[in-house]
Amino acid sequence: MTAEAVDLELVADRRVLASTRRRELAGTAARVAFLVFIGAVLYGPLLILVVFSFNDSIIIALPLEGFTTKWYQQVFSDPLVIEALKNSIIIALVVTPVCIVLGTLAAVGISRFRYILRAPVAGLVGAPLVVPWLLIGVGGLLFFSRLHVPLSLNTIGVMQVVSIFPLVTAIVAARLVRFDTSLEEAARDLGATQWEVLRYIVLPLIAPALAASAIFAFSWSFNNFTISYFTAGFQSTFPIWVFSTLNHAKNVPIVNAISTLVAAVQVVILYAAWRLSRHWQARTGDETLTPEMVI
Amino acid sequence: MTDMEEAQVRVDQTQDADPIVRDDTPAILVERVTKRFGEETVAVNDISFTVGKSEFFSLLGPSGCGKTTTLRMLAGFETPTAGRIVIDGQDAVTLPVHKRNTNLVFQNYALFPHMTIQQNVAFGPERKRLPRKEVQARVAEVLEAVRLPDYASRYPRELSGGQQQRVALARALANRPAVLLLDEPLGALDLKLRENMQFELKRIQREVGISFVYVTHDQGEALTMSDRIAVMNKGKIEHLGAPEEVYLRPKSLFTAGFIGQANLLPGTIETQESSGLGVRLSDGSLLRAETSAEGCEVGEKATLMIRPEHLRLELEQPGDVPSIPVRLKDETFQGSWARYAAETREGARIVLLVPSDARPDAGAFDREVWVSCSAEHAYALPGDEDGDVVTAEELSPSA
Amino acid sequence: MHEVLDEEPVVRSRSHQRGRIIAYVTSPTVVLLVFFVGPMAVLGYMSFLKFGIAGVGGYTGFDNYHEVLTDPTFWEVLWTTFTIATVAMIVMLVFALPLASVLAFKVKRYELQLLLLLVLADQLNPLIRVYAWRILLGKNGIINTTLEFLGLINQPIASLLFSKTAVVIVTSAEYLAIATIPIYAALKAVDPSMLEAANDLGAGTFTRYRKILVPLAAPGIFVALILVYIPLFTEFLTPALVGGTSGFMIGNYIEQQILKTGNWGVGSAMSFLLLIFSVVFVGIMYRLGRIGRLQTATTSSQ
Repeated sequence: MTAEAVDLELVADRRVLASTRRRELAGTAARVAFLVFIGAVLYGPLLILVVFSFNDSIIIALPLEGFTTKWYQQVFSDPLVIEALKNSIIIALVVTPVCIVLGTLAAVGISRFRYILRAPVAGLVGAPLVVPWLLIGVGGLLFFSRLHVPLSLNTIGVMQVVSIFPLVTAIVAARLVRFDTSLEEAARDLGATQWEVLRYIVLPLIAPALAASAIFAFSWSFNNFTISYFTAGFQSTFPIWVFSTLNHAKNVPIVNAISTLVAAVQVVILYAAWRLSRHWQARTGDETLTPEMVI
Repeated sequence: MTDMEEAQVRVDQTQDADPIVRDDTPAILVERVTKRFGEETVAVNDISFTVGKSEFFSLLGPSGCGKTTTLRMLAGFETPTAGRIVIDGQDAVTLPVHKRNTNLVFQNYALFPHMTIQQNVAFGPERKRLPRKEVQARVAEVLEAVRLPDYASRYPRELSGGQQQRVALARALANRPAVLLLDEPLGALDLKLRENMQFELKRIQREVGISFVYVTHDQGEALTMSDRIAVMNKGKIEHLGAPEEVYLRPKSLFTAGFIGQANLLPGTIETQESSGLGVRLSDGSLLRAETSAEGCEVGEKATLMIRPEHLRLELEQPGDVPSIPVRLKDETFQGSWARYAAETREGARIVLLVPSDARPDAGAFDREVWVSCSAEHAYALPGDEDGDVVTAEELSPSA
Repeated sequence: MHEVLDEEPVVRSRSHQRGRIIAYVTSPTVVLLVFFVGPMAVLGYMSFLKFGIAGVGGYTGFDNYHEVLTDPTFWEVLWTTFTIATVAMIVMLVFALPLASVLAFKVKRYELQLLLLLVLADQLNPLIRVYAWRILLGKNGIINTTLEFLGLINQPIASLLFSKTAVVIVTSAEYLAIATIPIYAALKAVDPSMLEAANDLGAGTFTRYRKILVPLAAPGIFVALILVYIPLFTEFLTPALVGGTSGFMIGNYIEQQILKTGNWGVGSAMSFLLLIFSVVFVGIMYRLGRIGRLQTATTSSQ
């Protein structure tokens, strides 16, 4: 090949490279813009909320008036909010362990054994996931009234448990299905009783799934509105409080403040959970949890 | 006679070779055990054997022959449908898995991923509630025995396959069982490593002195390591005996074909003398067999087993030794030997090995040549009813 | 002397097993039967009762259903609900597909973090999220004031809030994460070199999407539909807060019957119809995506 031909080739190559590179850059730019847009859609409203929670004005509209923390002070002096928050937390703290226990029992019962009633039981456990929460709420209300059971935090809790433990079952069952049973056989062979197998082998290895379920259940319970709304008595939960406040006064800045606080706490908790799950993964050599959260 | 002694006598009558260590109580006694799964599948069909103390005993056979099921019954993960198993003097029916004096080395190692090597190996002794000092001493002892003393604080996923294998072994040995059960433990290792591990396992077994029951489909492995081998096929024991016996004097056609390479030639027994049997092959050749299995009768069908290395290639028909006319079909160079595939006048396939420096020239392929076998290397087995020849390849792909 | 071991040990272990199965399965089953099947049964039962001003009445056959099905408002509301839900679903899918594919294929280093952000968005309290949107969408809200400020409009767009549009916008944002994740999971199971191969063979972006991405994402799309459409359809919170009178959905209508007018008979009849619709819908989606579901099941062992 002559030197000229080689030169021409190099030039041509470089031009092709440049245009490909331009195209790639354009593609990346488009992608980044898209992701930023999605981020704005998902988090933008929340950020606005945070901004307005410090805004010195009853009206939630631009222009911004000035910085103040009085709405936060209002939060702490309003007994209704505190009460509602307390109730939400109490319910979540009770509902979560119950869901974990029931969910895990069902998961083991369905995925580990073969028996005639297995399909109907699995169907029953899966049913609450298919029925819309609105109907579970309405059904709960009618059910309790029929039985002359007064509505209260208890009725909220019960209906929440029924709605959410099937999801725990799904998460834990997914983990159990992938469980290497030869590990359990090895443990028994080495002298472990059934109980010891559970304690030293099974539970530690499904712990990440249990933890993920716990966080999910707690979060869901605290956030739940529809079901709680229908089965609530005189005591309200946090979402119910927000709803009624919003319906009685159009914009109440106190809602901004408390919302910011709650959101902040949720973010912190979830981030902590994320870090913990990464640490656990490293220890047990398990695959990522997020596919499990997804199902 | 007690139950046990009667059982021992009965079992003795079904096998040729004595257990290596004759003891009043064998480490394991399996008596007429059958295992059925559901209505149709019979995985193990009326087998019996004993395993002596300090014996290296192998269960050998192709996939699906029932060897793993048998092992699992010994470990306690399956219960026999019929028959009796006695482990270390105790009837196994009373013993759930965690109470048995056996330990199983799993095929996939089954090391606990969330525990260190130390914790893995200590697991068994800890379940026995041994004092901490003793547990630690045992762990150190077995890790030393498998030559992995510095790995105690690592996790299983940090170790190579061979190392994990040794940890699995150590974990089982830490319990000082009466019998160690091994389920194809070397299957996942590459050749060199496998050969090393075979040596190690044998050495450890000799050192520790407990019985090993070893399941494998690799007949070379079984021949190398075992004191006795039970060759299994379709749920039954075809032959139970020491390696040399199983190799040189197999009791059944299946065993003959499964162990090593073998030419199996159908024929009829014509004469019977003190020096051996005269067998007339289907193509008319008459060969002599010095040794034979039970059941060979004059006038009955028989199969002649000759190992490829025992056939001599003769370019002219030899006068003094019985021989078969064949045509050479194929030559494969294998280093110190050359392997030839040949065909008799009847179309039966014969395989023979010739030392590389004694190979014939190409002209040998164009005409009829002869393969001869001296009587001491020919072995007769009672033929099966249809007189079909079962070639070595068909019986055992691993040949 | 040849005593064959009788069947006992096998039988013993089987009934032993049965005991364990019962131990595991009883409590969840009982809880579900009492507190799930019970309420659903009561719901169905109530739909056959008459509830007048006088209180609980007697059996009234299919009167309630008749009343519901001949109520013009019911059909109006149903139509509104259908429109909102379907449009929102489409809008969501339009954004979810590219989002899922970008996450699955294009962002290597930040994939887990971005996924976490996505999941996090969904874990925040829905009331807070809807309320935040209400602030955004109002006449004096950020969007309007910004658009006015930029000179793009002269008057605030009233229909941004308390309208069908509002519900569509808010619910799309609300359920976007839930819709994206199953599609992402389905795509993760795909070999990215397939897209590259298509590119190499000359397929443009749009074709790549149509012929490769969408079919491969199909199982995920069905899961997304199952997870999102029915909740969308039965939404009650969002239309209550931002829907106004024109964004009145079936969920609100049922709430009205149950909680406001005390007309439990009609309310339960409506609920029961909605229940049947949900079950049928999920059943169909499940069937349609069935082949895909097997794929996701085998490949989700990531």
